[in-house]
Amino acid sequence: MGRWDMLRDLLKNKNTVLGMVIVGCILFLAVFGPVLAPYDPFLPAPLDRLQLPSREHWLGTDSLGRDILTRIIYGSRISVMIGLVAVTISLVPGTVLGLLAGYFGKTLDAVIMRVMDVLLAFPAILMAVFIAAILGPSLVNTMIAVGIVYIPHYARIVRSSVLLLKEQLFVQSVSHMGGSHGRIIFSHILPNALAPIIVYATLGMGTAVLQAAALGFLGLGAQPPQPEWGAMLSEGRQYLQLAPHVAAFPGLAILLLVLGFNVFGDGLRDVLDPTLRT
Amino acid sequence: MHTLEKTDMTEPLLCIENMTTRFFAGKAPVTAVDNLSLELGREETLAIVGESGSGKSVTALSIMGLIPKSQGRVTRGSIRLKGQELIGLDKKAMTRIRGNRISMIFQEPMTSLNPVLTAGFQLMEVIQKHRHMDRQKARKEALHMLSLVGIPEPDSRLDAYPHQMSGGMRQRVMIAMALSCHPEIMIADEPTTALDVTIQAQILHLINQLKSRIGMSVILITHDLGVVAQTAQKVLVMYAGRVVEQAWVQDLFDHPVHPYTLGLFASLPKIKAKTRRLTPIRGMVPSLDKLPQGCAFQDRCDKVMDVCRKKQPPFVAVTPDHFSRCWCHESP
Amino acid sequence: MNSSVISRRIVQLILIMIGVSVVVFLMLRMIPGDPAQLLLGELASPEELAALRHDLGLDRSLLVQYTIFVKNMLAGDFGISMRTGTPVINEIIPRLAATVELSVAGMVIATVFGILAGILSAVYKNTVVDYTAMLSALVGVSMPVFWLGLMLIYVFAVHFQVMPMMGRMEMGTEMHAITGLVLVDALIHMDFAVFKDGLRHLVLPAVTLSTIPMAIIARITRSAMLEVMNQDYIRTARAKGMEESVVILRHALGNAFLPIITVLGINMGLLLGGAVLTETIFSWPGLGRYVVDSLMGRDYNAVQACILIFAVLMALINLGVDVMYAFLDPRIRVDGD
Repeated sequence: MGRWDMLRDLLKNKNTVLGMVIVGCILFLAVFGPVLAPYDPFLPAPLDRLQLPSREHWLGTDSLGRDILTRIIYGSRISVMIGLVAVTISLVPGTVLGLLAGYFGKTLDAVIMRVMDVLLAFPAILMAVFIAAILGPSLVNTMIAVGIVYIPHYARIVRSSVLLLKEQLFVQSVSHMGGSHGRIIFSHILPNALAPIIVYATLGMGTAVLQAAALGFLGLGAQPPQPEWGAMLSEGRQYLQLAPHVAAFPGLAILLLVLGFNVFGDGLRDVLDPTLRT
Repeated sequence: MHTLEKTDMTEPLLCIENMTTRFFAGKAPVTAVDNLSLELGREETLAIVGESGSGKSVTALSIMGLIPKSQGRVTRGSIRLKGQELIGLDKKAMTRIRGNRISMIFQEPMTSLNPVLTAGFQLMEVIQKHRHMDRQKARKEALHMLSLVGIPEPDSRLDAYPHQMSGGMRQRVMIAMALSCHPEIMIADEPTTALDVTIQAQILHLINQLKSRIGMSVILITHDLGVVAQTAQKVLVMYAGRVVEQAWVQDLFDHPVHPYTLGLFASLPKIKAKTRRLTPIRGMVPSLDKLPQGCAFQDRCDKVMDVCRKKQPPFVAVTPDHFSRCWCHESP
Repeated sequence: MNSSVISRRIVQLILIMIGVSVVVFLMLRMIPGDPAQLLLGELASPEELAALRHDLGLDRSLLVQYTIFVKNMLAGDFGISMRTGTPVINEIIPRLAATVELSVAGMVIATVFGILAGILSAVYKNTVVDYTAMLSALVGVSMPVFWLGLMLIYVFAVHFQVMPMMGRMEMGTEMHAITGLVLVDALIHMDFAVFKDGLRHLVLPAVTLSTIPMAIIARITRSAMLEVMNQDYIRTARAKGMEESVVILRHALGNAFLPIITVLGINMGLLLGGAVLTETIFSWPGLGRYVVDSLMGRDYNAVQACILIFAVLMALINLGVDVMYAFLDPRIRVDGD
């Protein structure tokens, strides 16, 4: 498929367009947040505590009187960054491990994949909580924890596409002509295994945002006063009876961003890799 | 059993008039069967011959009311079973006809049986549904049907799963299912194509034998003229959704007249022929959404004339019981 | 079913368990902070700290600690909780029952409604029904469950006050535990007031927990059904004159179950993980909440035991899925002859 055909297919697919619009809007907020946000995200305003949505504060204020919309806008920078960094942390080692296991096979494959099996034997959120607790609660550690948890997923996906590709004639003929392992892996196998990686990484952004917010909610992620959506929700939880909007809006923001990544990922899968449907 | 419905003795068992089936799922609507008419008498075997894409299977599915609604439907014409109109019949009434009065077997015995249910269950299911028997009686009847279609040790086969049987065996189970309610008509869509040659003959023989035993009529869909000679009385040759030639089997084999039928005969291997060379019909069946103006066979026809490219040829009687759709009959 | 397949799976399971125990053991020792210090507070003298470390076995080498740990574990002894001083196993068992009750309830909801939505979606493909179901499923898989839980609490417990806010039973309810599952115990005691109370407490957390698996099951059911509905044997069933409902429920669903079961198994793990968040929100006295609390309190023994139990549960579920798969697919169950 030519590059332009692919772009046209992407634009023709309702899912990718909708996903791109949602994610695009949030990216726009993340980039231009400081210009757009009407208030200071950190400065407490004791007189304006727990206000309901109004003309001055579109989404109301939190327990310290800070504007929730402003904090959500600033929080979008954190969430988008978490998505990108966490996925990179799982993607790079996962891909390398998957390539090695699938390409060289035998003992190396067995060792790598058994270790991955052990890591997969834990429920993901539990593993993330565990790692976050070891590293100590902070934003950076959240990204590392969420990233590590999903390494085995990428390793498995990459390995299975490498196994398929390895059998295909064109790789075999290259290796018969005497191409080095490195060349075969990086110029023949990896480019052809990219489609499922891209699809999975897009869907993985959503998962990472969700898991990081969960850690924030449990108090193991970003710490106050950072406007991380999960942590904001956790703060709002205490005021659920008085002011449910404090918890409601950050949660909606999480839902929207994750939905955007998922819709986009679904569309990408339809276009790039129809065989990957699950 | 079927005494309640009105029977018109002047009507043939099955009468199809001007049936057109169109599909709407693709970009442009496609006419898969165009204006087809046929009559099937009691205990008669009618063969429908044609290449894939000629509309013969669609004809069968149209009769059964099995064209998926999301994809297409019979847009015109009439299908009458003993005078009862089947087109537009409500769902419930149609399920009482399918498998009971008209049954069908398919080309792919390997995939036509449900892999997670036993052969016996699938057989008993039909019997319980249409003949209102309890499990015990249905099981007995299923056993009887399996031995009727020549399955050895039917007792143990009843509890076997499809994957434990050979292709020929599965097709026998399909036939047992199709015949278990003593239908008036059985439609067999390429029943032997997927089977070994030796099994093919056995299955055809079985169908012939059971046909007279049950007293049913058969519509046999095939691309194999050899099969037609062995089993059918009447033949319909289809091309690109239209009947191009229709005759009694003897007549067609002695005097085929349509260029397409002639081509089919020429492509048959003949044991006594001097040359071993086969002459396949050149070119390919045109796709239904790109049919040319005029005769659909024009690009592959040896005798193509100017008029063939302009107008549809009419369906004319060459002799009183032998019809053909070709301009060559118009200009002697 | 082939017994060698099962035995191979069991060997695999044991190997994974060994790996899991090593990982858990090592990672716990990497957590910064001295549990002895934590227990005795800032003012403890060095002698007191050393004595406690000795009591807890923390002064031995890692290898010795691990060997003792495995030996005890195999004997069902998970050690003493460093926070409460009671045997961990005694704390875990009632909590495990609470988590199992919640997870099973969540899975039942997810399975029933997920499969139903998936079937409807497939049968009414490309209609409003399909679009609505699949859009809901997409929202479902993107759902932050902790947020959903809070919103459900707000709507049903705070605003309309028709549901209890937290816990498993009304305060002060006394019942002799037999299975530890409130609903089952209530039925055994024929105590319908407690049964109703337990059910009311279970609904919101179970619904919260079921959301993501339900959405995933709906999506997989739809695609499995669409694939199966195109098969030749479905056409055969229709040609036999079977009612459409029989075709869908007996002939199609019977085959679509295979991929659905696989996904169910994967999601049981997700569900167990989701229990961590759901239990925190609803103050459900289960293992998920206990493990987080223990982790925060650096209660090594408790965390170790919990995580191992979670891993064992996941492994058992996977084994169960394999067995169920074989049971549903005669091509695996019955050896061809």
